[in-house]
Amino acid sequence: MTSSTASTFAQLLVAVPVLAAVVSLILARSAPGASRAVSAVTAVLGFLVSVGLLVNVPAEGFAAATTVGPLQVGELKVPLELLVDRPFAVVALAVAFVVACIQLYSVWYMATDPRGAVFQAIVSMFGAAMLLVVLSGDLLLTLIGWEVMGWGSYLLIGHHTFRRSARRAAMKAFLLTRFADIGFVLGIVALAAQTGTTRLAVIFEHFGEGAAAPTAALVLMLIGIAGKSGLIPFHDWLPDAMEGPTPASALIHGATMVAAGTVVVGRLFPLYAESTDARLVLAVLAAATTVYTAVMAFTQNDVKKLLAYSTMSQVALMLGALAAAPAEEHGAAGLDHLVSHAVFKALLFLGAGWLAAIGGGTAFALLRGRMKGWGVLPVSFGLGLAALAGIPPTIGFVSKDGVVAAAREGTTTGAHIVLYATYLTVFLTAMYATRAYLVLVSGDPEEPDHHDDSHTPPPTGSSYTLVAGVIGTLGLLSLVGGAAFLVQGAHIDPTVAAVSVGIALLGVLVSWALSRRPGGDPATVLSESWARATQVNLGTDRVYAGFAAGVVALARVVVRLDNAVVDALPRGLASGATATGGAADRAHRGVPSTGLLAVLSGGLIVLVLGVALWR
Amino acid sequence: MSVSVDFVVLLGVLAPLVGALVVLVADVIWPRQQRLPYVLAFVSLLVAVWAPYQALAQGRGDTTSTLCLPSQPTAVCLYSVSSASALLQVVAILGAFLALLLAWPSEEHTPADRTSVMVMLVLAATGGAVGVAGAHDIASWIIALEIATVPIIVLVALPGTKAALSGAVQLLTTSLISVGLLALAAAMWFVATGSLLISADTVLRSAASGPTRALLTLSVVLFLAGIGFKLSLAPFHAWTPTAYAGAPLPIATFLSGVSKVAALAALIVIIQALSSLGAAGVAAVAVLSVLSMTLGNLVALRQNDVVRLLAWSTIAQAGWIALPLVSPSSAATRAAVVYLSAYVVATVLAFSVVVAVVARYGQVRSGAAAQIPGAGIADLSGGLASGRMIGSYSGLLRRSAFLGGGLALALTSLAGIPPGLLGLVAKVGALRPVLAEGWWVLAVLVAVNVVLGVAVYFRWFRVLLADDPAGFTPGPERAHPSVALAVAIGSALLLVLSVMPAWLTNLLG
Repeated sequence: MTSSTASTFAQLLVAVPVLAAVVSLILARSAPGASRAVSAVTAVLGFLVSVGLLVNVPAEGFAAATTVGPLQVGELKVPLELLVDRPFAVVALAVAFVVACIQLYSVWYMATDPRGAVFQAIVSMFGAAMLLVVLSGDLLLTLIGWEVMGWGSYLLIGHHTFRRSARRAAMKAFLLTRFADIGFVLGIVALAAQTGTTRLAVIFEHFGEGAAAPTAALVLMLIGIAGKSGLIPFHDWLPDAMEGPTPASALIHGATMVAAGTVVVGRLFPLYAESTDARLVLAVLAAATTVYTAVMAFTQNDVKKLLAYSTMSQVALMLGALAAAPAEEHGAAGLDHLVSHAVFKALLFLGAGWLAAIGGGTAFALLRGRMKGWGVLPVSFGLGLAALAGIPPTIGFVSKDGVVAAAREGTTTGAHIVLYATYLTVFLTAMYATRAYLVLVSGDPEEPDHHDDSHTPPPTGSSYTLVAGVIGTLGLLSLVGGAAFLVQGAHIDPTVAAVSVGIALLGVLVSWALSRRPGGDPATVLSESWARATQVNLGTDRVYAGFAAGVVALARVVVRLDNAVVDALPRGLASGATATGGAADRAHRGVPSTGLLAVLSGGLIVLVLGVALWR
Repeated sequence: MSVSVDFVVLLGVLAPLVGALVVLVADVIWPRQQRLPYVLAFVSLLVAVWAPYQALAQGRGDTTSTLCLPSQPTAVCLYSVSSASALLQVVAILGAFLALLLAWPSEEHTPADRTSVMVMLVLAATGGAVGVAGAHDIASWIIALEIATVPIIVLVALPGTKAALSGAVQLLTTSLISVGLLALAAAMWFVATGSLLISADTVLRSAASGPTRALLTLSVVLFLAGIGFKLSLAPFHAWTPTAYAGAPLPIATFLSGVSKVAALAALIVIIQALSSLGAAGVAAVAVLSVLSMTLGNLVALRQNDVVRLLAWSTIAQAGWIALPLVSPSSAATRAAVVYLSAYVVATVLAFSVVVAVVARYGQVRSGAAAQIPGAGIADLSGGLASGRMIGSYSGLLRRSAFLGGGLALALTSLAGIPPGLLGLVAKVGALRPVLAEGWWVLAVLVAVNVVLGVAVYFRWFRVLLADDPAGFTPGPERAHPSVALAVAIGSALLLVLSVMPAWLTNLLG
């Protein structure tokens, strides 16, 4: 009985935000106020539904639920069903919770935006797509949610359509993730072709019964996952995506798009566990990304960009945990870190939005010391940074400990790579988290040299209560959420914890020591030219542009070949036909003698043919 | 010797010929009547269609015969109509009817002194066309074929303009050669078979010995050359564009419809008699057919005058009509008849629309329609103003869905692409005997011509959809009721037969 209740809750959890998005989008122009109210209320409702789902989900095994009914496409069976088990119900809860926080926060943050209602409707749609990916039991549904998120990210990042940089960032995110999706789609097609269905349960069964692991398909899907999760070499769209309004950044980075890759790998973990090669690829990508982006995060001089790089680093950690964990662990460490990251990263982004409202921008230069005196903000933001750094007893400490433990337990080459990368990242993360806190609470800010209308004024009155409530709740969760994991069955290995906390504290210490230098910013330890290069993402953008230019040049060559060689035949035929027609037309100018000549010659032809062929 | 005569069976031939006489007599009694000759002609055509209509109801392989000689062992009939030839007769009568509808006098111009002559000639030619489909002896076959041809020469010459006369002279000179060839062929036939009858029996008998077989071969080849002229098969086609361009439009319509029916009917009579001999005898048909198609399509591709385009299209289509006859089977004959029917309906419809558009331009030019909105007379110059240039049809589909739709249907049917499915079905049917005989080279050449044909008709079709250059073409077309009726009949036939092509093929059993 519980499982059928769970099915109903799963259906509702997808249906509610879909309906919310449709209704609020319809209302967005005629009644923006009502539209915003619908978005906010349904988001809270969605959160309550996700709680109901978690309560009712069976402790062991899966609960399935139908959606719009099965499809039969020729030989291919497409059941279009949802599939939910306990770990994914937790992820769904985190997603619904973060979406609810962001919707409530947006009521304040987007209040002055004329297209705020549309923004919130898209956030609902985005949430629905992410929940579909989390709850999907069918590769096709996963793909639908995945692609809708890609489209939604384009709309959200490019929300400020009046800014050229925003439009460019949206296009860049869209093109990069779409490009990577080629692999994702091919991987899904390969899996469906091998098994004759898109139903996950059947696919697991198929490959669980001794069939060779579908390594090619899994690696192809990794390409798409690398695109969405910002793994090297697709990492550069995420820092640019900071052009979107801060709630959009919180959404994309907190619990949805970027984490979707983790969700899919976690969902397909039974398959990935079988394929050492696919997991090695994932381990190498994740290890490289997590260290590289942690370094980049330390050097950024914009709080949102710092958070963006930190997201990539943390998501790579989740994927690293999934790549390293032994098969019997079921990838729980990666999913736990996803949930914990969703909480503290949403907190940090929403806090950054508040900071931007105070300082008139997100550059550290504007925000120096701005956090002082805003009550709940410095405390919560500090807790968020502590969670990011993995300082006990925060939620980040517990989940990061799980990642380290998973990597230590793994016996593959990939697991070793991930383990060392994780240690390095823990150190670097503590450094940049400390740096961010120190810069925000000390020193004197610059005044913004021009007033930017696109920034929201700081919250006052009831909106202050709302924003402070959201931020405070997230801060509290960052502090005590770890306990929830422990209740759920996570356990802390004292040795592991001691090592990772020690490394983190070392990072804090180094960062603090560097901040004693003149200037107060630990990042000033870097040389001038290095610091400048990191601000433009080390020119990755130019590499992409070069790649695109190469493709275009190749296309030009192909077009020229096509025109000159392939098309020459039909064009020659056409002009030949026209020329012959013209010549024949000139020969027919109504002169009776030529006509007679033709008749006589024709008679001759027919005679010869007739006599020659009649045998 | 007693000959049995069944006048009801002969009605298809007799009614038009008697009608022609009545028209002349009526002209003597009530001279310079504008409409009376037409009414008489319609009545006689209506009577004439009764006989083939009856014959169509018979089963496959049956014939309705008359003029039978009581010879041994079986009676020999000089006039017999199978379901295929009955359909040809119906199409001939329908073509004559539609051509007369197009010629129906409008209020403005009154060449009343020639009306009855014109109608009389049309009826006579129709009678000849119907007769040749049923003739089964060389004498009446040649006479019927000439009755179907000679009036057309006069009809082309009748307006007396320079273009008309030049067309008529072309027609006359080639026609003379054709008659000569046919007469020679008839003589050889008689020598080879010792009989004037065109039947499988006589052919088999003469093919048995070497010398007569050679004579028969020559005879058949000469027949083919002579009929090639009537059917506008290349290289006997040279008269076609000149005659079409010079003749009045209703006569060109008649020429492209009824005259082709007569030619195919004549060819089928000969081919059917040869069917006992096997395939090789008609190899020349394949050469003429593919030559006509290719030349017709290539030159049609370069025409800007729609009448000349239709003339060259007729040459190309003649190749298609003759194509199935490379196989001597009765299925091939039926395919040719179906193709001809589809071609006649589509071509006559295209001509009907051309008549309507040309009349409209004439109205605008004469200033009679000065108050019609959108008539930018000042801009009309040169060929465009005659309504005979492709450019004159720019945006016709937007201006008049009736005329534009009819023309679009006709052109797509001629090209053999949807929505003109009738043309497609006919083309497939015409190719089937070729494939059955295994003539792959021919099939490939024909396939190339399918593409060329689409290009030819699409050139015109594309213009129909174009945006009308502002004020360049006259406002909303409203065709004369008789022309509108012709367009309506043609469109309805094409539409119905495109939806249910089986209806036409089932008629042949």
